[in-house]
Parts: sequence; C-alpha cells; structure tokens
Amino acid sequence: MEKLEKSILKNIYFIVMLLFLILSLYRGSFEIVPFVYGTLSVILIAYGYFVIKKYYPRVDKYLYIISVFIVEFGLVMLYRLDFQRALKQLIWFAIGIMLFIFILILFPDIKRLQKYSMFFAIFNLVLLTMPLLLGREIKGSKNWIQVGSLSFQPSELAKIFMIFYLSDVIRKIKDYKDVLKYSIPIVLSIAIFVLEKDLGSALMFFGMFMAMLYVGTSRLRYILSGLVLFVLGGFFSYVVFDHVKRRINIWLNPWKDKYGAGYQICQSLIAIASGGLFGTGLAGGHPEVIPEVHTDFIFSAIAEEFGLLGAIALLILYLLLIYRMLRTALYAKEDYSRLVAVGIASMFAFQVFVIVGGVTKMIPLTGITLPFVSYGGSSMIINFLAIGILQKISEVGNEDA
Amino acid sequence: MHDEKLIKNIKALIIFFTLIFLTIIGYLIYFNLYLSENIVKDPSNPRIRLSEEDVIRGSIMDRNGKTIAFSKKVKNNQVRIYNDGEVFAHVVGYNSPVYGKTGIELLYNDALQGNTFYYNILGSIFRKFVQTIEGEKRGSDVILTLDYELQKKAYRLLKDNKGALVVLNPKTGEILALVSKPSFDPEKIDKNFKVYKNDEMGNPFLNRAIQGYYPPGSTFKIVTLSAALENFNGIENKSFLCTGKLKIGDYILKDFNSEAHGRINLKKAFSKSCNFTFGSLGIELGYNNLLKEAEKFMFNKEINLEDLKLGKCQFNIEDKENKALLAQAAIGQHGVATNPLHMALVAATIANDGIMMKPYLVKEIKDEYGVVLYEKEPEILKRVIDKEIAKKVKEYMKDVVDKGTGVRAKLYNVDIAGKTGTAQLPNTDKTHAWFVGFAPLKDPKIAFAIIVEEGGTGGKKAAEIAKEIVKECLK
Repeated sequence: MEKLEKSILKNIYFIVMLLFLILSLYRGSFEIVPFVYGTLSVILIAYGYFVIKKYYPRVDKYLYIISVFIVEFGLVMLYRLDFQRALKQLIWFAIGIMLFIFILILFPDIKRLQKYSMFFAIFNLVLLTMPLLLGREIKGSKNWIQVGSLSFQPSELAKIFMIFYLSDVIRKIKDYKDVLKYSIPIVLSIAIFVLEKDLGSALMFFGMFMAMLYVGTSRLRYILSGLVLFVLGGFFSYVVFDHVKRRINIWLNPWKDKYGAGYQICQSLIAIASGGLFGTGLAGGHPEVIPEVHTDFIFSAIAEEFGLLGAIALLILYLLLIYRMLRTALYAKEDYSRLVAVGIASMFAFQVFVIVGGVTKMIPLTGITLPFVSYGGSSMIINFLAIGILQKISEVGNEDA
Repeated sequence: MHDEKLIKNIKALIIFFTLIFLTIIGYLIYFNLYLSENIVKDPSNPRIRLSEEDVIRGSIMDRNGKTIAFSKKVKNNQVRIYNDGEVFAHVVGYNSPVYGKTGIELLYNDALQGNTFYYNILGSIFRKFVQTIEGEKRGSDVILTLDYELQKKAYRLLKDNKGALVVLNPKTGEILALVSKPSFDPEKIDKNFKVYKNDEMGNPFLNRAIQGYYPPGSTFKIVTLSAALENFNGIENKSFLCTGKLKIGDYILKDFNSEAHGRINLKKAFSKSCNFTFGSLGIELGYNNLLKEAEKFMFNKEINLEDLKLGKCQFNIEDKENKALLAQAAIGQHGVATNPLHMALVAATIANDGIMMKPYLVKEIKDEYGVVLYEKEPEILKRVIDKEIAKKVKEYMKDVVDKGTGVRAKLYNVDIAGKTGTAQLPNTDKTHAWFVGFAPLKDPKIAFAIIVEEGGTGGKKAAEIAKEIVKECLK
C-alpha cells in the first residue's frame, strides 16, 4: 500500500516539476522563480504526506493525494495566468494543509458534533444573511463580506454547517411533515442565495440536500417531490427575478449578444474549442482573454492549454476523489459520520458539475468556484476543512481494520 | 438499524455521480467533435487577432504590382491601409477585428498571414530561417487579375448610380475589373459598419456584380439567337414582319414604344432588338429548346469559383405551356434572372468562339522575397456552342453597335460587339440599363457587362460607359 502511494506521489512531483519547468523556460531563457515556486508547492505536499503517514497511518491517504494533485493543476494554471494571485494561492494552500493537519490532531470524533445540529442550522443562516446586511456586491453577486482588506465568502463555510445539520436531522425523518419541518433552514438558505444572486450555490445546496435525503431515507418520492418543487421554484424565480431570466436567456443563445451579456460564456466556449484534443500546450494558448479566468473560468483555461484530454483527466480526478469520499462513507462507523461524508462528497460533485457544466454551456452558467483549482482563500480553506473532516471519519472507520 | 439500506444507497450514489461525470465528459467530446470547429472561427475570438498581430499581413496588389491594400505597424499595432478603398471594396473585402473578414481578405487569409497552405518547400525553409534571424514575420502577397486604372475608371463611370460592371479577359477568364455601387470604405469599417448595414436602400455590402439578381432584358436575346441559329436551318434568310405588337392569346408583347420594324431579317431584328421577332422565335423554339440553350450558358447551374461566391442564375417558367410567358422569357423579361458577371461570361463565351473560361481574381501568390508560391492557370469552364454559331453571333453583335441600338458605344478605331438590354421592373415604368459585349471584334481582349439600375434604356448610359471602358482598355 505504502509503496503504491509513494510511487503515485513521485509521479505527481515529477509532473508538477515538469510543468513548472515549462513555465521557467517558455519565454526563451531560464527563469528561476517558477521553478522555486513549483519546488515549494511540492515540499508542502511532501510535508503534509509525511505528517499523516507518521502520526495517522490508518487514514485514507488517497483523499489527500488526489486533492493536492488537483490543487497543483490550479497552481500551475494560476501561475501561468497571474503571478500575484498564484503567490497568494500558494499561501492559501499552505494554510489549507496546516488546517487539515490541525483537524486531524485537534478535532474530536465527528459523532460528537451531532448534538449541536440546531446550532449549525442557526449559524448557517446567520452566516448567509451577513452579506445581505453588511456585504457588498462583487462580480454581480452579493455574497461577500469584507473585513479590512480580506474579503470572505460566508457561503463557503455555510455549506459545511449545513451538512452537519442535515446529517443529524435526516435520520429523524419519518414522513412528509418531518421533511417540511427539517428542511426549513435549507429552503431559507436557497432563498437567500437567490436573493444574493448566487444561483450556483443555490443549485449546489439543492443537489446536496437531495442526495443526502435519498441516502438517509431511501424514499424516492421525497426526491421526486423535491424536484417538482425545484422546477416550480425555478419557474417562479425566472418570472420574478430579472437576473435569473437573464442567465437563462444567455444560456439559450449566448451568441446573440456575444460582445455584451453573452461575452463571458462565449469567450469560455471559444477557449475550450481552441484547445482541441491535445490543447495548445501550457503557455501556448490565450486563456488570459477570458474574463474572470482565474476563478469561475479556470476550467476553460485548462481545457484550452491541456486540451480535451487534460480536461477529462481533471474530471476523472474529481470523480476519483468523490469515489474516495463515498468510500469513506461506506466504511464509517455510524450513520451520522456516514451522512456527513455523503454530504461532503455530494457538495464536491455538484459543485464541479454546476461550474464545469456552466462554463461549457451544458447548463446555465452560475458562477461558483471549481474546488481546489479556482483562485480564492475561502474556497481553498473550506475544501481542506472538508477533506480534513473526511480524513477524520476515515481514521475512525479504519480503527479496527 | 438502517445500516444496510444506507450502504446500498451510498453505492447507488457512487453510480449516479459516475454517470453525471460521464455525461459531462460525453458532452465535452461532443462539443469538441461537432461544435468547436465553428466556434473557433467566430470573429469574437480574440486569438485570431492575437496570432495575426505577430505577422505583418501581406499586401494585395493589382496585376501590374500596384498596391491595393497593405499593412504597417503603427506603434505596436498593425493597421490595414486600403488605396482607393471604396473602388476595390467588393473584391478585396474588409479585415475587421470586430466584424470579421470578407472578400479576398477572407478567402486568402492563410496566404496573407503567411501560413503554410501555399508553399514551395525550399522557399519556405529559407523564409522560416530568415524570419527566425530577423524576428519579424510577414505574410505573402496576393496579386489580383484586376487592373488598378481600369477598375478606378469603371468606378468613376458608374457615377452615383446604383449598378455594377464587370470586365474580363474572354480568353483566360481573368477578371480585369469588378465594380459594384454603392460601395463602402473598408478602412472605416469598424466605425461605419452599422451605417452600411442599416442602409437598406443602397445596401452597400451587396456585391451587385456577383450577387445581384436582375432580369437580363434584351441581352438575353444573345441566348435566344444562338438557339435559333442552332435549331433552324436557313433562319438567317427568313424575314419577319414586325407590327410592333405580338398578339399571343389575350396577351400583347410590345416592342419598345410599340415601334413597328416592318419587314426585317434576323440580323436586323437583333440589331434593333425586335421583341416581336424574338418573342415569336421563343414560341417557335418551344420551352425545352430554350431551356436547353440557357442551361448551356450556365443558367440554372451552380458556378463554383475559388475567388468569388457567384449567385445563381435562373431560367424557369412556372407554366411551360404558356406561350405568352415563353415569348417574354425569350426576350429576357420573365422567369429569367442573372448577374453582371454571368452576363459578362455569356459575352466572353461568344468572343472566345463558344468556349466559356472559368473566371478568376487571384493571379499569383508571392512570398515576401518575391518567390511565386502559387500561380493560377486558366481553366475551361465549359464548351458552350460551336465556333460557327459563335462567329455568326459575333457578326450580329457587331451590327448592334455599328447601326443598331448600341450605336452610342461605337468607336472609330475599334470594332466593338455588344447587345443592349432594357429590363423592365415590375409595377413601375423604371428600367435597368444593360450593356454586354466585347472588343475588338477580330481578336477580343475584353468582354464586359454593365448594369445601371434605373438607368433608362440600355442604349444610352450603359452603352456610353461601355465605350469609355473599351477606350481605357485598348488605348
């Protein structure tokens, strides 16, 4: 086992160093900075792996290995696009890994959080309403709060709280009345997202809720009723909210207004199309012309320079990660932890689906981050928090094994 | 207690997410296979311009090497300069970062950008080598068949009229001039695009010379004449009695101003553009013979050209038995539609002894060191009619200019052959003026077609323009 892990890690180091070497060389002369940057990121990975292996040999190390490989995808792309941001992202990555280790050391058994579910629900709503009261609109969505020079997206943390809350209450559901009663916080959350114009998070929360509801209750009719309500709610929002209507219309025909409202999505599609099967090669394309390329559209940049094959590889990495998460759920000791793991896995799955589907025009575009890859501190930290929690569950789950 | 069910559900969820991801991957593959090709070409793709910025775009020149369009660096940007932009606009097209490309700028973009679609191997290796040393890339030059001075003259001759003019070499198919009016300025396209686009009356983006859709009027009598000469033996010796009004059932086909030409032979009937005679000839020939002849001259046929997108010409009567319609078709007034380049081809076919040459605009492509990468060889498009028939039609067409309706085109030192046309427009008394022909008669150097929209009768404005064109070409 350990041998396999090490060989995979070695391959990852090799690929990462190769990519940064390309970034060192592509301007014609050797630049040392990309090489140093790549080395630092590799050292971070190796350090994290060393700590887990040494002190927590029982945890599922593949969760960590796959995650950091995905992070490297983002670091390489960000470095190529914007050095300043890449530098900050590396710091966020370091903080993420520290946090991840702290969770392993300090966090109690996840099971103990079960009794605080009401606290989680309330705190989730408080977090989500904060930007409405003191937030400011960034990039068309009012889901940010700013403290000093740091801006923070509370919805990122809120999703973890929501998972903790749902994992507890879903087990108590006996009939429709219970469903209604316990889903009040999540319905409110989704409504707040729609008001904040953060439709991507609304979609992700809904998907996550449905997945957990199904796993926890085994009742397909809850899901069907949920879908019917979702369609009705979606239709209602389409009629009432201009911003929802605009999104849908852009999705239906972005080329009609390719220099205006459809500019982002059209540029994203052009970038993906320019990549072709093998891509233009790292630093060979022009992904810098896509607006918001470092956050929402980073997948398009990857598809342009790494090609269809690179994009599929990244998607398969996500699928493997989600599989590993659900596997953790399978091996967990009790139902609460199991559902927390299911929630986190669903969160990742829907988040990837919503943003990748969005930038490829498979579904309407709603800006959310591509986990571990998009630039942004809140997102990076919360994702490592999530992985840390799963790691904790896997540690307990493997106790007797 | 629900443990077993939970485990089962989680496994189902694994399958569900796998399917979702496979759907995304499937969509991406579909996108790459079927959608990406067109998306990349969209003019809003900044990559096209970014990659083009690295290369100084090649020039477009006339047949004598006079520059029509060229690019130069102003600070860090490239600017495209067009000499007499409006004169060449419909041929050369425009090159806009916002609105894309048209014309030669579009069709020969690869050559102008110096891409390797056209190359001779040694030259290209040498070129790459020098470029690597110099660090500056330059595209290839496209040399057109157009004659700068002739094109400019033709543009001026059309004055402020709407209309078009085509001059070509009947023996090779080289297009010497191709003008459409009103025109636009390709250098100011980014600023004025919307103005041009919204000008529905003038429609300056329409290349009337190749995309116009006009009734040919009496110029179509060339086709009817050649059909009559082919089908009826001894028709030249026959005489017709023109009353000025040809009665066909309830319909009366009138001559111009209802003028009666009296007893005339075929040659005089052609020279005077007698509707009575040619209307009756059409009825006598019948629909099938007339259709066959028209299709020989490429009516109803797609003419695929490398350098131009030629509109389709049609010959089609809704009721084949209707003699009134047939008579009108025979004088080019009903069911027949054409464009100036096509009519110039008809004249060129007669001039070239019945052989239609394929028209073209690009003569050569040369790289920046003058190495020829591509050279166009004239091609036969079709053998249309026998040399003997063509010879007779030539004589008839000479008569038109010598003493018929085209007398205003006459020059004393050159024999010109031609045919006038006055195409009536539905529901008005306005007419388009046509003149098609070639010169000199003995050894034709040029064939041409001119249309002046709402220009009255073909014998006036159009014939006078033809005279000036011949003067310019043969001076």
